[in-house]
Amino acid sequence: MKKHHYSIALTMICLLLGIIIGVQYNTVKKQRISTENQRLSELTLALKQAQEERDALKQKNETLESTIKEYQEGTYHSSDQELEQLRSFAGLTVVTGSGVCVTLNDSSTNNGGDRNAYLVHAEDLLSVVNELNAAGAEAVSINGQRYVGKSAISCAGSIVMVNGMRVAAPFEILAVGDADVLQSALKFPGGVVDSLSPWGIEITIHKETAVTVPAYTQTALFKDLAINIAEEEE
Amino acid sequence: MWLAIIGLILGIGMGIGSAIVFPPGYSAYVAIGILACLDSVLGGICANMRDEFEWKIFVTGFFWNAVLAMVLIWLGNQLSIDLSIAAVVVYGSRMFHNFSQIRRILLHRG
Repeated sequence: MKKHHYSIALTMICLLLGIIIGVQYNTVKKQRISTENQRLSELTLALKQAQEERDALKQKNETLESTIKEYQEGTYHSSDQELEQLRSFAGLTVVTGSGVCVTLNDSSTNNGGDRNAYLVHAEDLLSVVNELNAAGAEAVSINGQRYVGKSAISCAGSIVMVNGMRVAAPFEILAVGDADVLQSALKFPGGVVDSLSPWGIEITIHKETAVTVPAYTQTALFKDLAINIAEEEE
Repeated sequence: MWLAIIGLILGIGMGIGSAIVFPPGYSAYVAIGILACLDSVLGGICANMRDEFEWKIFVTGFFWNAVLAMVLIWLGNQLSIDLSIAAVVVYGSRMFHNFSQIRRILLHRG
């Protein structure tokens, strides 16, 4: 009789254990399915991107072929449109578009330690700009200074030099591009915002429907380089 | 012993049949808990067959081992030591030991 009693306890415990195992089996199975789905959606996205790239390249190929034809027929003229494209590519024009407005300001708190850690540095601006460019920003400016291929962001004592001009906190970084992508490029876990926020640096990101990024105003001086036009024409 | 196995199979059926799932973050803890519980049950069956079964020891061991294993894993996570390996090795080897005991008893009985 007593042994029978134990058997019931054992059975009940086994039943409980069995239920837990069953539920765990469900959990593991569901996780596997969800990771497979994730892989699938990633591949779909990659395929879509590759297709878009292919279509764009095809179109470019067509325009280049027509340009060759124009060359051959001797009717080629560099159009104003092309010039305008190159100017905007070089950052010499004011551009407007949807994008983000990022503001950075020095920390108002000081929890001890190095006072310098609570200030916005040139490196911080550089990493923000770099993330924005990596996320496909089409035009970027810092406190009205357009960031172009020749731009430098350097530290000069208590201020920051951008394009050789002094800028100081609060910094306002404007970027034209896909606002959602730009925002998430800065906000992802372990990203720029995460690395600056422990120091209390005030960083805000606003999505804007119309951001106006100014033109590059510095006179680009080319003293030491010679453009090899002949080589390019070949 | 057969009742225990029937209970286990019935339980697994009920668990899979139900649409319940654990929150994803706890999956590792549950897995180690299951291992500890399996070890307790095997120990219980083994003791039952040798007529040394004490249900208080069994029931407390069942829950305590599971909780202890989970706490160890949690502690390991905090200190970035993979203590789950220790739990898997210890409970795994004990399960093998218990299985061999059960097999011996069954063979002797037969």
